[in-house]
Parts: sequence; C-alpha cells; structure tokens
Amino acid sequence: MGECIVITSGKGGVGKTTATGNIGSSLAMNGRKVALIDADIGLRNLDVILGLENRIVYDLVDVVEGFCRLKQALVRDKRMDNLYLLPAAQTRDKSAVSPQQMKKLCNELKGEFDYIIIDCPAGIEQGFRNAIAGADRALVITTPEVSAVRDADRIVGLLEAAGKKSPGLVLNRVRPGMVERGDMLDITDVTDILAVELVGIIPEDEKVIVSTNRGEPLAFSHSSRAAMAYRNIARRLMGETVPFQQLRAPGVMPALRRWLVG
Amino acid sequence: MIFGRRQRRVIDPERMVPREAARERLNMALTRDRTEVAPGTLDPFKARVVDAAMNYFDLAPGGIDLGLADDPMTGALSLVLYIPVKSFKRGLKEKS
Repeated sequence: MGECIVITSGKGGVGKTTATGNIGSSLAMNGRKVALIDADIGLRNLDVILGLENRIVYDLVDVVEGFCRLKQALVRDKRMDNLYLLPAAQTRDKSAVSPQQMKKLCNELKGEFDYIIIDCPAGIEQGFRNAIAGADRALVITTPEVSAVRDADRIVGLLEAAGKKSPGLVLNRVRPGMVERGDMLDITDVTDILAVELVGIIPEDEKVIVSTNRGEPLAFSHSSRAAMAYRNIARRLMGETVPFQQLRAPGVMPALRRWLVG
Repeated sequence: MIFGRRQRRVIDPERMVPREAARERLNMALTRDRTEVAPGTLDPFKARVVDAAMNYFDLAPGGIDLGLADDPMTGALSLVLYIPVKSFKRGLKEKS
C-alpha cells in the first residue's frame, strides 16, 4: 500500500509545484513507483515542469466524472517509466472535484503506486480541502519571508485541525549570504516559530528556473545544490537519515568574514 | 499590546538588523493569528476576576483592564490585569 503526501504552503509562488516535480522525480530515481497529482484545477503547471504538457489527453476531472479510466489519464514520464502524472483540468475550477472524490482517487492510486505526491493549490479554500483530503501526511513548504512563514503557520494549524498530524517543513530559496549578513530569516528562526519537523532546506539556485523552463526536473542534475536538496528530501521521505547540507555563502568575502568572526 | 495599560516593548526598526526585525514582526503577527483572545472574549473572565477581588479589596474608582501585553523585561507575552485598589478589606485573616 502506497503513501500519499500533499505538498502545500498557503502562499503562492513559494515552490510547491517545483518541489512536487523534483521530489517525485527523486523518489522515482530511487526506484519507487510514483504518481504525481496536480490538484491545481484551472491553473495547472506540473505538466510544464515535467515537460509533459503535449502528452495530456485526459485529466483529473475526467477521471472523477467517469469520462475515462484512471489509467487512461495517467501520463508516463519521458525519462522514467516508474513516474506518472495525473494532470489537472485547465478549463474547470476547484469546485469540479470534491474531497470525497479525491480521497477515493488517492485510495485507488495507493494500491498501484509506492508514493502519490499531490501538488496543492495556493489558498485555504476548496482546492486546499480537496488536495489534503486523501493525504496521509503533508509537507509544508515556505520561503524565509515573513509573509510566507505566516501563511505556513496558518496551514499547519488547518492541517492539524483536519487530522493530518505532524506535517514536515521544507524551507525553500534560502540564500546563505543574506542569512550571514543578517538580512534574511535563519533556518532556526523559521523552525522555532513553526515548531514542525524540518524535512528539507533548499538553497536558492538559478538552475531551478532554467530547468523549469526546459521542462526537465532539476533533480536529474548532478551539479546543483538545490537538486541535491530535493534528492535528500526524497531519501528522508523513504525513511533514511540524511544530514542537512551545510549552506555557505559563495565568494571570498563571506569566507573571510567567517574566518575572522569564527 | 492588544489593549490594556502597559505599553508594548518599543522596537525601533532602524536599530535592528533586518533579520531581527523580520523575526520580531513575524512573532507579533503569529501571536495575534494563533489566539482567539480579543477584548470581547476576555470581558466575562474580567468580571469573574473582579468579583473575586472584591472579596479582598476595596477597589478604587477607575478603569479595570485585562489584556495581553509583552513583558518589557522578558519580552514574553503576559496576561495583565490592572485593578486599582483603595484598601484591603478588614477581617481578611479571620475569614480565611
């Protein structure tokens, strides 16, 4: 029986879809059979991140409305035959699906896949309720900004109210140089305030944008620290104990400052 | 301070590094987000506390305040009750 994980944040633009694509790809690289569900009905993007936008025939709404079978709607990844995408409908809205239907869908997928990763839409309305309905656990993703952390705190509260205990935290777009200069919230600031288990720290990386534009998940890259962070998150989800990367600001001056200050 | 007489710790953003200022603002925002305590919700509690206090003290005229405030010494969030007292009631020892 597989495990269903929802990736959520509350705030938009913090990296839910990118994280879903990359964590899913990393789990598949580790030999797990993975289904990614795009629950952002009306504003789908996971297909673009994975480079599968031209292969979509049916979508999530077609499945729940009975226009096609689940297997017909699942799009197999170009690179890995154990990674599948269930795309969202682009011409409907969040009310096209109910939490009960999502729960049924997730249970059906759990019989077939090791991991089901759900990309939750931004907000706390119907789309959020649909996305979390069938999930066994949740990963809350945030950036180290006041507005994003505040929304993440609200989401943690809503997840707990919905019976999804102990959500994991992924801190995205961390800029070590800004943290060292005191210009950005630190990792401990965020973890102390949110009081949830830290599952991953993803450094800011320009390659994320490049890979997104190419439709190739960054997780396949061997030279990117963000890619390594995504792969580490996948390993932690599989139960491995993986130490967190030491994030250091690049350049001579930060290194000199560290050497002088200690 | 949500309401009450005590003044909240004064934070001069100009004198804080941005990270500290961000953490402080975030903490303040979350303190309010996470609680359902508001002036209206505290009123019934305030009445009960004042009733109890009147058994022991003669209250001086003036406003009674109950609210949440930052402790200026520790920075911790505190429940603060302000009751002006005129005098202790006589016979308190004998009663207890």
